[in-house]
Amino acid sequence: MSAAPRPSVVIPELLQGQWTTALICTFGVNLTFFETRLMTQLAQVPLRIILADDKQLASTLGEAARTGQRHRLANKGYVAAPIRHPRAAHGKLMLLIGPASGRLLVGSGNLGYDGYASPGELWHVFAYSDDQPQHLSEFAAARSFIEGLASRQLLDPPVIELLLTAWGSATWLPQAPTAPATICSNLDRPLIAQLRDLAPAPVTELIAHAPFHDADCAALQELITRFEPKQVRLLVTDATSADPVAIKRTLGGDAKRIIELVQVTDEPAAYIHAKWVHLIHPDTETLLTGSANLSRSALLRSSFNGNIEIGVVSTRPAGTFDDLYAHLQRKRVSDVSSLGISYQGGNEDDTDDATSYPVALWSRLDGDTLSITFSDVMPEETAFSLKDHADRAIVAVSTTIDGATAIVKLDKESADRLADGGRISVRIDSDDDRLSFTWPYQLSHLRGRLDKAGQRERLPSIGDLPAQDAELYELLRELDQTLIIDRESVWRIAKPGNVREIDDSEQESLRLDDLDWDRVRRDPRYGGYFTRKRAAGLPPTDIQVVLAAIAGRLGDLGLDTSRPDTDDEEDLAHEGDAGLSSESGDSDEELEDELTRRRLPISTRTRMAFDRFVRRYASALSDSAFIDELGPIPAATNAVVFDHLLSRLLERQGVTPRWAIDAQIATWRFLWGNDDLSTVTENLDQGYSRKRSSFGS
Amino acid sequence: MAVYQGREYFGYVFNRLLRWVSRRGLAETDAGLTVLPSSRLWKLVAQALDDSATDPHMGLALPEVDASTRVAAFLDALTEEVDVGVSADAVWPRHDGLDEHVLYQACRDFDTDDGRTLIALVALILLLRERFGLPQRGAEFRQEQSLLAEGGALRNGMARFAHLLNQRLLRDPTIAELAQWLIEDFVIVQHERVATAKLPDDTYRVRRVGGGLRFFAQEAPAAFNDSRFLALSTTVHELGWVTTFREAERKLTLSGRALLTDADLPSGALETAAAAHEAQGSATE
Repeated sequence: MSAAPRPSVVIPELLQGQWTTALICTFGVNLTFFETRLMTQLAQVPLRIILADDKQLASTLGEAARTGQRHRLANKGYVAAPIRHPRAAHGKLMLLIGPASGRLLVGSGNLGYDGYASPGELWHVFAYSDDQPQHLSEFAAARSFIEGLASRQLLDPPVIELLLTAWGSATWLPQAPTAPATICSNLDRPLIAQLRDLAPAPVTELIAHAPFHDADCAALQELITRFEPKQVRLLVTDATSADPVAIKRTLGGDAKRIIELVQVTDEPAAYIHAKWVHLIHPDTETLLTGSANLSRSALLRSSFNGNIEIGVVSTRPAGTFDDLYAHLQRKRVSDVSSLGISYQGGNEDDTDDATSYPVALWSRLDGDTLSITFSDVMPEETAFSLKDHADRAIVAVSTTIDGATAIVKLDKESADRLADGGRISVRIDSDDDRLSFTWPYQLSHLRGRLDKAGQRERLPSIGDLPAQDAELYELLRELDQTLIIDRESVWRIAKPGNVREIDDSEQESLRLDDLDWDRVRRDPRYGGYFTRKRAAGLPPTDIQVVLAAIAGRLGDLGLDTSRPDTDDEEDLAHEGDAGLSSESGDSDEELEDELTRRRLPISTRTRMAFDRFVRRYASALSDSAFIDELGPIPAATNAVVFDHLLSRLLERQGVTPRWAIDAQIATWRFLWGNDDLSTVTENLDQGYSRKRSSFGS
Repeated sequence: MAVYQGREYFGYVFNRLLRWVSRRGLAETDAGLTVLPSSRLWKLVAQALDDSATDPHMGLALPEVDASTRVAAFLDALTEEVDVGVSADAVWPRHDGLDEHVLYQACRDFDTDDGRTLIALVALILLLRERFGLPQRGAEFRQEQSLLAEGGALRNGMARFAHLLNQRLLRDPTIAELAQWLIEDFVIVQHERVATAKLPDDTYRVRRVGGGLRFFAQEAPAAFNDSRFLALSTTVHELGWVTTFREAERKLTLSGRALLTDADLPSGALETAAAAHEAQGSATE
């Protein structure tokens, strides 16, 4: 999926998929952007973790506290955690993992609008699935990088616990690469050393760009020294942080060392934040992209005394990376001083001084117990003044101090307030000048999202159907995600990373030979049809919930389908779901159809959606090859569900009669047969057949 | 009513500051082509304040100040001139060159992004603090607390702002420091927050990028958020209680004066209006 980095990646468009974990590593962090733009798309992802540079995150959260932003779901609905590194934790990646698939982005952008949606960044995008396993090593390298942060104690203990959960939900993801990976970090070795290992000699040309340089251009000098390129092309922008005198000194007066001013052609004002070192050899090219600027801390040092960086190094045939420059306009600069650029301190690689007093590093809320870990050992007699996001006092019943950790027992009202989310302000000895903020990790809530994942809230309502059209539409979506009714359903299971709606006319083109039925039979949705050998004590499958709801109309039959109470705002919404609502139509026509549907009243849209669902089902009933592969138990179960569903929909005019009646007759014929057709129940075992006989008589 | 009007001035200050920053930023960056280092913006603000003595007077009687003038001294000069001690519901005594409405009108009508405009806006916010934001005046506005606190996660609320301003003034800041604080925390941060929430509609006028600011050529209007006032004024005019609000010298009608003085309409006024309506209705049947 990713031989070359892509300059125009819009990350919010790459989030679709059935993931269990979304993990973001970033230096700078814009939580408002995350909450307003990404959270809706990641609503169905149970575990959402942001790992950000500790000083940058503290700055973001400090600004939020200062300017009255609550971030209610931070560390409650998602994790916003620091990477506590003495220098900059500068690596940028996004790792989306599901039970059998993954997507990985490694690049230059920070979590925010510019970093995730502007043409000034570069991203590598990798995908993994059973049938596309070639980038497994990259995923393993990403996991190894994250685990490297944990093993170095750079992450808070609650985050390490949650990461274990994340890895546990993706058993396909090895702890470390078993084959060479293109992803490299400087956790153990400087990036420049790894680049030197991978890049063949000789280097005919070095092309480099980064928005930040050392004051003395040491990293650029070292690149030239190590690789001895015959030509050097240094790319700069109007906003490059570098000293022109140092650049001149480094490049010298050699005519083969040139400077070019670059702009994004279509968007000249775009800030080019991407960083790359491009080495051109006689027949091949080597490219380093990622988070590393042209600085000592990023490029020349390991994390032992430098930043934390991650990137991608790949060597490919000549011309592979030409697209890197396709969107850029380059102009030769004869005198770099004329650009007006300068070295600006306080750049991405600089670190701030620590505060002079102990601050709350992290905290954790478990029921009525709040534990706060400080940056220093606290004297036992220390008094704390705690306030919630609205500046209301938090009442402590008791406080014990153990080293750097304070354990505070809260009164019930205060505990309830804190559980609602948001920051806690902590004043030491009630001193306004010794103030810090913390958003407590609420692990029970974060884990609760995992428990809720996969639950279908509307399925139990199939018995009588919901009264509201919007709820009926939700029920349809959940049924579509639960039942395997046709080749499209199978295709979605077999291709979870590329879900899109399939037009009726495409059904036939989905050849059974192309569908991986072994994979389908391993999928929990297929297994949900087979409940006989299910161990006692396990929660009901979605199919069981549906059947119990239908049987419930006949009296107290079936399973108890009640669900645990759900929280309103943190419900696993369905934005990121695939299925009927998928909005990733490829063509303009599909987009237009979608827009037309959106303009229709909800009742009409719901009826149209059910019409389509019913037609898909009825059409598949006559697809004997599909039914044979599906097997009698799922096929008969579907028939029972549809027989009920069609009756109820016809009662409330929720489906076009023409389609519904045809489908119902087809269902009855399928179940009970007629003179011309053999029936599905003939293939069932004797117990089922006897029931069929008694029903049929 | 005073609180409603105060809130209009309060909102106007931040919208006008955004307009100031946005237009000055665009001018400094070739209409947004380059990134403006944040430090450069603060130098611009300080320079504008230092140069304010030579700016047009805008018809205002502002005391002469520069970037290094202490806010406390500036505030003393303001409150010597403007009577901010009147109660919440009393009519505010006017000051020809310095009261809130004069400051607002001058910023609106001159619409220039200079130092004097900055000083007028700082003066406006300080006068509002004197009227609504001092702890000792809290009791007067107890009933209006919800109105003063309005703002939510995305907007500046007056009560919270006043609390933060009071804390800030304890540090004895200069006018430049106060202006920087207002622009950074209550203009740029708030604008980014609102614009981010509106994505994918791109409504950014300014956005922080690294250690700098990117400006976008989009209009940043500054006006009262007075749709309710306009709707009500139209209604009372159409009810025949006042001449049109478009006239500077609008007047109460006899009915309007009766309503004002008696808290009731003249006897028979409603019946007369209803009869006219019924007659009109039967004519059209």
